Amino acid sequence: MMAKSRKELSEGTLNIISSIISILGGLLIGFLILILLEITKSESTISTPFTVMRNFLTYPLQDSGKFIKVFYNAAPLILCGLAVGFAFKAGLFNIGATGQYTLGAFFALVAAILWQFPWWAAMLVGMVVGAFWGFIPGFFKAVFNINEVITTIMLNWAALNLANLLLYNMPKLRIIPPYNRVDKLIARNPSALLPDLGLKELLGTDFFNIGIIIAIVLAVVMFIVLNKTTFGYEVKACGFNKNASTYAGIKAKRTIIMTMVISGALAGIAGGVSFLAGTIQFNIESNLLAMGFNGIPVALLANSHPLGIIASGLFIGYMQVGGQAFEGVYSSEMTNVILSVIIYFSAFALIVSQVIKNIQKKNRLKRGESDEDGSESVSVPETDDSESEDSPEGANAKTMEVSK
Amino acid sequence: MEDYIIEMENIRKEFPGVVANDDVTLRVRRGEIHALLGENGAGKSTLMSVLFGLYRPDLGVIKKNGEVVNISNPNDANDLGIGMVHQHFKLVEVFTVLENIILGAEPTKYGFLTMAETRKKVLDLSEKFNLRVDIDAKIEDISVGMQQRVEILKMLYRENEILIFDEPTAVLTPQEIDELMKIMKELIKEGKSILFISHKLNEIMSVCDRVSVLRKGKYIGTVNVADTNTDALSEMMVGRKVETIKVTPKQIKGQSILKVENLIVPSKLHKNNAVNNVSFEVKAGEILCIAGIEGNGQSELVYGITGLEKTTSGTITLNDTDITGMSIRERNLTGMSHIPEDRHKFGLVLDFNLADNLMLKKYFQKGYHSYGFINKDRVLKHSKELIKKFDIRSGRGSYTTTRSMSGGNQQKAIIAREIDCESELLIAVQPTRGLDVGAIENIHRMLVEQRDNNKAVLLVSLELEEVFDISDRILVMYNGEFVAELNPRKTTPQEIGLYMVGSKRQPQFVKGGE
Amino acid sequence: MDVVAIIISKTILFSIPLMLGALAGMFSERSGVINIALEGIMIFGSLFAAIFITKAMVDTPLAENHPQFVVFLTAIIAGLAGLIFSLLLAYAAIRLKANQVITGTALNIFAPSFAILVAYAVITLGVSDIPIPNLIKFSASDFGLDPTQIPNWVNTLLFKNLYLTTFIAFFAVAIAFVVLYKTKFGLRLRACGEHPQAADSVGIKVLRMRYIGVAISGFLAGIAGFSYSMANGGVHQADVQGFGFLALAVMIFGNWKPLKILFAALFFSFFKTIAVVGSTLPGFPDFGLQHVEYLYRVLPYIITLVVLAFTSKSSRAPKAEGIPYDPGTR
Repeated sequence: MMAKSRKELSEGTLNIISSIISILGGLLIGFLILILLEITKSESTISTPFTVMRNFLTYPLQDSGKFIKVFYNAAPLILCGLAVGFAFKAGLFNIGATGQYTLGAFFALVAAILWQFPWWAAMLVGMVVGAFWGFIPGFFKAVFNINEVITTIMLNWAALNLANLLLYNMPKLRIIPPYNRVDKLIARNPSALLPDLGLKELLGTDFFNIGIIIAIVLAVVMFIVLNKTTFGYEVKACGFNKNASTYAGIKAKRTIIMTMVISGALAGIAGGVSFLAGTIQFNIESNLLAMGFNGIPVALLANSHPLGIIASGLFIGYMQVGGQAFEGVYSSEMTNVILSVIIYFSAFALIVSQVIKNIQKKNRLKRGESDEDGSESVSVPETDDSESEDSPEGANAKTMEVSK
Repeated sequence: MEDYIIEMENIRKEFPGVVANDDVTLRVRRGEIHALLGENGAGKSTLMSVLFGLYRPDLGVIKKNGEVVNISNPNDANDLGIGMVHQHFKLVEVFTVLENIILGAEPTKYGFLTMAETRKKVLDLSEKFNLRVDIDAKIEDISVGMQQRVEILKMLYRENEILIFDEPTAVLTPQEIDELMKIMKELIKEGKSILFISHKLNEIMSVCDRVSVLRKGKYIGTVNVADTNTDALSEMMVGRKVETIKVTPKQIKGQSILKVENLIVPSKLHKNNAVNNVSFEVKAGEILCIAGIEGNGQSELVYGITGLEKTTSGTITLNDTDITGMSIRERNLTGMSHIPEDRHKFGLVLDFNLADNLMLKKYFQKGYHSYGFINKDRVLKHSKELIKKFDIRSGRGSYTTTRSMSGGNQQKAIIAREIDCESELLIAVQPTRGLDVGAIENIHRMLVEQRDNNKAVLLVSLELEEVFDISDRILVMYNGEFVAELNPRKTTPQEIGLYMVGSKRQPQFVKGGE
Repeated sequence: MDVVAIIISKTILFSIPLMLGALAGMFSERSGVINIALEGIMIFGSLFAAIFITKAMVDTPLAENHPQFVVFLTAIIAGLAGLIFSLLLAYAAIRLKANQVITGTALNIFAPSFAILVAYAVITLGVSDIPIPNLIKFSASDFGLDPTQIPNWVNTLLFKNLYLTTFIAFFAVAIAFVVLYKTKFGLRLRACGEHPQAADSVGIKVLRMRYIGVAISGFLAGIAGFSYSMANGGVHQADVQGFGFLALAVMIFGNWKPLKILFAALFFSFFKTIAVVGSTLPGFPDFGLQHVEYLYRVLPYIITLVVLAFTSKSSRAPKAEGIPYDPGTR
């Protein structure tokens, strides 16, 4: 055992601390904004922001219906978080979860309604479509070295408009008035609804289904893949150190593509989970669906750890329900504001944990700390240039060191 | 009273774990070309970085014209008239020659660049000092020799009087080197003083007035070039220690394991080849050491053999198989292990734990996984075995995050992994860099053990001690080519030194001769 | 003829936010900082511009007599708002060396929600769109021409979609070109994005340069947001429909050069225009599809991808962009 004169923080602890700092930061800023907004209203008092904040934090606990909504919200969040997080592990930034989610959802519905597939088959269709939509940016990155941020965002918008176009041109999806959105599944194909294990009636809410179970199971699967398979090993190696993985003989291009395919597949499943629940209908949308983007803070807060993503997914689901405590019109915006500030802080959090690690290392060296054989080595900056990651010219193509 | 333009007295500069400059004194006379000589790691670059304001010394003073001065950044240095041509040029590739010269000292009128007058000034300087440049060409399009002249013009444009050249000839062709020597003599005629950092003895002898020698951070002495010769300088540079050879002589009867023929590896830094038509063989049961000063093509040679870099032409044969076109993994599986020179960049995934790093070359093989699922027991067993056998120390054994391990143990882990592959060919590049005596001895013992087990070991080393301690045969590399093949028992450090610096070349390696 | 006039003038109109946005991205990236947050900064700029013009300027004598001056002031406000917002990115990226893409994405997620909340609070609860008063529009009479005397298509071509920001954008391209290539500042800025160590070694303060680069970027992006709202039917919405990212694509396609950006912006805007306008005009194929406008809307994005793929070889990003500069690693 290495003798330590001072206790050092372990990796896991550091990550949790940085996540907590981000969350607190987000809540604080949200609170401040709330104060500012209240100030502009004439009938507010000093205590109003505090009351509102408290309501926000306790709202989901008020009754079982609200509480179950947390799990209902969390399921697609967890899946999108897994999508984004898995890509992070390979050093890729998948902002295209929204597009993959949207098309996955749409085609799951097509399969459910037009082909009368049972829920699990429809889900698979959604998964495959999402996987394909993830394949495209993966391919562009691996072959043309085009940054995946640009390609995924282009594909998000392409997906949205494609879905709208298809929706308008597939009237068989919309035979029930008002004819401008995909029909309710219960009317067209009840077998495509996500099963609820008979608990819907018991719990008295429409929002219970096995989606959360699917999400948790897949989180566990991703955990196993990442930590127990050779493929996961290669993904992490590429994400941590592309050079060393090349040295070890790992094929970087293939890994990138496979990762994006899996990432897309997860987002596609998320789409299926959302829209096969029977609670919402697929509309003509003019804006990108937020779920894919919400996967980013879910992943970042958990540092892309699949099991941690379950926790952060539940947390954000909780916040979304609590957000309804904000006065009607404010609700979703406030939640989004808090969420986005959390992301901003979590970008720092990665830095904060890096900084702490560096400080710890310097202290270790300063104390002359070594292990029992007394060997200690440091590289002296003998030449002036440190060899920085050489970026290939190309559309903004840099390997983003996202997972640390 | 000596007319010293620059004096650096009792300079000490320490980095965590290493004293780069230990009580070094350097005095440069006005109007002389003063060489700073030493091996890699001697402290030359650090000392010059202190002078140029890139580092601040922990102890010591710098004087100009006898007065103490404070240099805390390159601007201060520039104000004092000190300029530096860096080893890795600090030129913006997409800018033109003229733009690079004026960058930081631009002539302006209301913020707008007024180039016309400056053009003339630069062209005049260029002509006066015979520094041919194409003033409107982009840096990325011109030769390395011209790039260097741009760096020199940068200094002249700023009217620097003390010019530091850091290993200037490392990337030049022989003709360009001759030109540079002439240019330096011109500069002196115009009243400049020059500090010339180099390890190339013949150049130092041909153009410098005095030489100061550093060894392992310490100042050894200063001599007049007129009063000395390359042998004496070589001795000062490497030290007088008599090397004990730890390797018992052995008759090499093994077959050829690695055969390299006419290998050419292009350089990423300049237009010359890094490895220029090189051929050699490594046999089973021998340690072949490629010796030479850093930057003469050794790294690229190894990258070319292992597949980390593409080769332009030539063939590589391993275990009677042509591996020239093979992927890295295929080469490894044919029988190659590689202890890389940059252990953090290539050798380890620092964020993995020790066990995961130890299986970096084996995780895909039978026994380590079943249908893609990693066999954790096997991995741990493997890791524990290696930890025990190679005495790898770490905080939490197999679960230690590799980043937190000491450099010595990280290196042991890499060596353990590579030796464990039991490949017929083991390539080790600077395996003991930055390690202390105990660790070095350990690693040497392991390498010799491999040799005794009839493996072929290709060692690339910058440390002469190491070269003498464990090699059976030495090939000296200079400027991308081999210049000598030596028997460690029949040669001396001084002799190797001469080959390493390009002073000598054995007849069979002279171009055109066979 | 009318159709052609509409297409041309709308192409120019939609190219303005792309042009300004791409220039914004260019200044930031030329200094070495990747600015993914253009989308969010545009929304921010548009928001404050809309609030300023509707709250502070409408019904004032200034608006009566010098409407275009009001527009000019509004543009400045938009720019300043964008500049301040971009400082969040600057601080995180330059000082804290945070991941520039994550930080930028955070700002992109923050801006729309923030914009909606502010609109609720300041204008009308429950309504997040803020209409921009008509005073921003030009008419032929502003140029001394009698509107009834000129042919309809000329009116459409020249005046109907003309705004002050159109001039600002083209002016910005010219200024950007001059600043970047003819001034000391521009030379130093570019050096910081290509080879910060070289710049540092000649005494240039790299970190400060990068702050300035990001600030300029924020300023231009703010104005871009305002110009987007003007093009978008004169309404501020808390959303710029991906224009911020399209601007990045324009920047890449324009190889980080002002003049090329101008042409790239027109190129992409053309496809965008076809998407919006094409399906409603006679003579455009509808491939037998309902609501074929959605097919046309997919077009610009797919074209972007294809073009990026083909130009990836010759694309030359500032070499040091995205890498935080650490003076310690001189």
